[in-house]
Amino acid sequence: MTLRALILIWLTSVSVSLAGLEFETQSKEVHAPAGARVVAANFPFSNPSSEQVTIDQASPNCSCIGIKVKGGKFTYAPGETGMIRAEFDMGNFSGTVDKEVAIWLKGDPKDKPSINLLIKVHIPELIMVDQKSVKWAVGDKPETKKIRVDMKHTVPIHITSINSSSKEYQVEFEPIEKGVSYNILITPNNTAIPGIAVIRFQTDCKISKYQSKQVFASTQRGEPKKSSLKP
Amino acid sequence: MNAITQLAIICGLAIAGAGTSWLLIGSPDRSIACDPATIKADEICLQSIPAGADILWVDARSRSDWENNGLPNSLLWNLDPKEDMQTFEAEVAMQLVTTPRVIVYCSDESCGTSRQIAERIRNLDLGAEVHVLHGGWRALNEAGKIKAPNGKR
Repeated sequence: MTLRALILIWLTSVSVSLAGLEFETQSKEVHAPAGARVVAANFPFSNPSSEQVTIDQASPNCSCIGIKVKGGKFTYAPGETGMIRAEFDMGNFSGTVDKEVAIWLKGDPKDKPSINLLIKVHIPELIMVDQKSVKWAVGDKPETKKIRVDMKHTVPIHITSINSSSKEYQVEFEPIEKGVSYNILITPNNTAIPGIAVIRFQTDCKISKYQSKQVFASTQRGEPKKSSLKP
Repeated sequence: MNAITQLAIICGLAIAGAGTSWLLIGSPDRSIACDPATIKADEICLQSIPAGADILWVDARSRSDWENNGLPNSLLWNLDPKEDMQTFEAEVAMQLVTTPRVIVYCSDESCGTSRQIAERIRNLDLGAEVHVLHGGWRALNEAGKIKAPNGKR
C-alpha cells in the first residue's frame, strides 16, 4: 500500500464524516397566541447523503425548550426524512425572544455541532406600562407621579386592586378608559430618606400570567456614577 | 521503507513531541482569560472589580446550582418557567436602593442567560449600573470565590 492510498482512505473517511442532514429551513418565526403557554416549531429534514446519519444530541440554549424527534427515531438512512420539534415554554418571557438549538450528529466534535436551529418567538404583551418605575431624588417635593397602563387584549382587562409594599408610598389607580387604559398614581409621604416600593396591581384577565403586574417607586440620593466599576 | 512504516514514524514523532511538551510545559491552559480591552461593552473582568466594592451579585443559573454553589449573598434570577419572575424582580429591586452596582453571572462565557437578566434589571429603570461577569461562575470558581459545595442554603 502506498502513502497515496493511505491519504485517499483518510480523505474518504473525512468526506463520510461530512455526511449530514438537510433542513428545509434552519430558522423559524412563531407568533404566539395570547394565553398560549407553549408554542412549537417544526424543522423537517432529509438525509441527502449516501451515508447513514445519526442524531447524537440536541441541546437548546434554554431550559425553556424541549426537543422531540419525530417517532423517537435518531438514525436516518440515505434519502430518509424526519422532523425535529422544538417546544418553547413561554412562562416567563415576553416580547420577541430568540432561542437556539444545537444539533450534534454522530462524529461531530464536542464543541462544534453540525446544525444550529433558530426559533424567533413573538409573545404578545397584553398589559403595557409606559415606564417600569417612577423616581424622586431625596429632598424633592413629594408630588404625585403617574404610570400609564394600556391593555392590548381583544377583550377589556380591568385593574381590580392595587397595593404598595411600603406604607411610605400611597398608591391608587384611575381609569382613563375602563378596561382599556389606566393611570397609576403614586405619592411618597416624604422624600427625606431613600426608599423603594414594589407596587403590584391585579387584573381580571382570564390568562393567569396577566392577572398581576408590578411597577416600582423609589427615592434615591442620586444617580450612581456611570460605569464606575470599569476603568 | 514502506508507507505504513513512514506513517508510523510520523505518528510516533508527533505523539512524542506532544508528550514532551505536556511534561515540560504542563497541560493546556484552560483558565479564563479576560482582557478588558476585548470583552463586550456590558461585560466586566473579575480582576477589574475593586476589592471591597459593594456589589449586588445575581446568579442566573438554575436554582439547584445557586443553592449548591452560588456566590455567598448572591440573589437568584433565572428564566426558568417554573420560577416567579415578579419575586425575582422585587428581590433585586429592593436591594438596588442600597447597592446600585449589579453583576450578573451564569455558568461560563458561553451562557447567554446572564445578558438577558442584566437587560431585565436595566429595564427596571432604577438607576442601577449593571454588568455581566466575563467567564461567569467558572471565573469566580477559578478565583477561589466559590466555597466548596455547601449543600442547601
